[in-house]
Amino acid sequence: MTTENINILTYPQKLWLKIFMGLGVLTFAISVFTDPTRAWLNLLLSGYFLTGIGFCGMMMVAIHYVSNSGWDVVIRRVPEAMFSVLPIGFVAMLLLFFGMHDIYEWSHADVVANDPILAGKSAWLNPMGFMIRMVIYFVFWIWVGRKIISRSHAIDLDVDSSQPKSPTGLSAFWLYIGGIMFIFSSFDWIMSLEPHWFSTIFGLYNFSGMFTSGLAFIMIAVIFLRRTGILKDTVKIDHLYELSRYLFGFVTFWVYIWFSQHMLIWYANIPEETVYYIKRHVGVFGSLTVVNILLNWLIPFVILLFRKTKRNEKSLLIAASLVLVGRWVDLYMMIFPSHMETPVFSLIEVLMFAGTLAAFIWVFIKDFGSKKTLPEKDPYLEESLQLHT
Amino acid sequence: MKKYFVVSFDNEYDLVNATQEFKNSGFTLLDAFTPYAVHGLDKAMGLKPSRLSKICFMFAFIGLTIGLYGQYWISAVNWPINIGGKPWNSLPGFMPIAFETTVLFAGLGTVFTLLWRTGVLPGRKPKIYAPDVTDDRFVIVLTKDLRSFNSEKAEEISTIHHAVEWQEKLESE
Repeated sequence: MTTENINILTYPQKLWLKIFMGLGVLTFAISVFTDPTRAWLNLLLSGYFLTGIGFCGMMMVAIHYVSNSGWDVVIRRVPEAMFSVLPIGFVAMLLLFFGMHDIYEWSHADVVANDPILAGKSAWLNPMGFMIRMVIYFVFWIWVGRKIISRSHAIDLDVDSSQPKSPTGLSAFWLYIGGIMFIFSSFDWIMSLEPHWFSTIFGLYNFSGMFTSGLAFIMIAVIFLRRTGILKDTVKIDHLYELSRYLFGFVTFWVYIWFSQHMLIWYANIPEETVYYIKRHVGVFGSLTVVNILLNWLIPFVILLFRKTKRNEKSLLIAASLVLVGRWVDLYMMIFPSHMETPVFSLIEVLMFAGTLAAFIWVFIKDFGSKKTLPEKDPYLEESLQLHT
Repeated sequence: MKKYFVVSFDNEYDLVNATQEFKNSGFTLLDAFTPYAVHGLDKAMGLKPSRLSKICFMFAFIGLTIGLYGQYWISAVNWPINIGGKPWNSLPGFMPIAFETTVLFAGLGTVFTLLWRTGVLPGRKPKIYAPDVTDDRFVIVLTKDLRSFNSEKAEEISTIHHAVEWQEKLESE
């Protein structure tokens, strides 16, 4: 079957994407010499952000296969294209190998030798294991994920040959193993920035943030593609309504998990645990914690509370954008207080994040435009087109 | 004594289309009965969106207030106890219980409001207009106003939309 290369973006838009990607890389290249810790923390944030988005894309596809749902078929190519960003996340995370000593305390053998707590954790937290686990996570996510996607495309390609294989079983496998890997990846990459501190709910906390940001991205992408006219005939406001209900549920899930972690540590009041929140509750970081909750939960929650706003593109765009910015703030609050006394925010953060977003949009559009935008032979297509809510 | 015009269909699409046409032709719909929930039927019948979600919100708010104020009153006003050095009015610690009372009030309040408004209370004897609706039929019931009911028109619409059968029924007490 031929691939149809659709021009989704105009030439100036593509140019801007390229400029931002270039600026992002340039900023990183310069700041890694001037302020290495900050540069590596930014790279970690960007890489983890992209990994979460890509992971969420595959997760949405897999969830809908496993739950046998029909409504999502017309927008399935959107999360599938989101998944194609995972290799970039992989590259960004692999680069951390060179910055490991700047941001991970446990990567210094001499520090670990003099620190009984870190020595006790060194069976898991050591540079070798860190890299091996990272490769295993990504190879599993990407390799099995591509298999699931290729089965969906095989249904479209095969006209009358043998029965296509069902992606359902593989999706369940990916969700189960890949989900556990996501939890461990958040322990490895984010929680180990402060290796003396631990929280068993930390993986779930990151999972909820990943889910909300991924949903927000799907929503923005669907609205954008509707406006450019590509999904205009197939995606109705009812599909956006389904997505917005997802988002509404999961922003609440996010605050539920955030509060669970916070309240248990506050209640138990054990010094080795509270040290994490003391850093985040004083000074400017303290006000950022409030901003974090406003962006990730309270404002989107109020916006998405009503049926009318859940069925309106504009209000959905506002809510989804807030959640995306909120995810950045959320990751910033996890990552930066580990090495910074006060928040740092300047052109480095802005440009690196803009570069990250530009790279994501670039890959997303490229992947989306190179395939058929509708799974034409999917058995649930008709059900999806007929969606009423 | 009220009279009804009962039309049965054997699939949901005919039912929705016929409902639309009955509505447009000025008939008074009493209700439509289906073996399962049919999407788009509420729109065809011209029903207003349910107000139940507002009731749900109100009950949730009452639950939240009671949960928060109750704990504040118990642990900070009426009988202050020092637990682990925490302040008497410890808002984070009140949250889980306030959450539970919110869910409890919203859930029970909504269910009982629904039961009360729809009249589906225990011991109620159901009115069955067409026994087949409990199996696989889709039924529209029109209120037959003696002066203005156009039986020919109603039968015509029923025929166009492949109705399986139609009949007039008297309300039997």
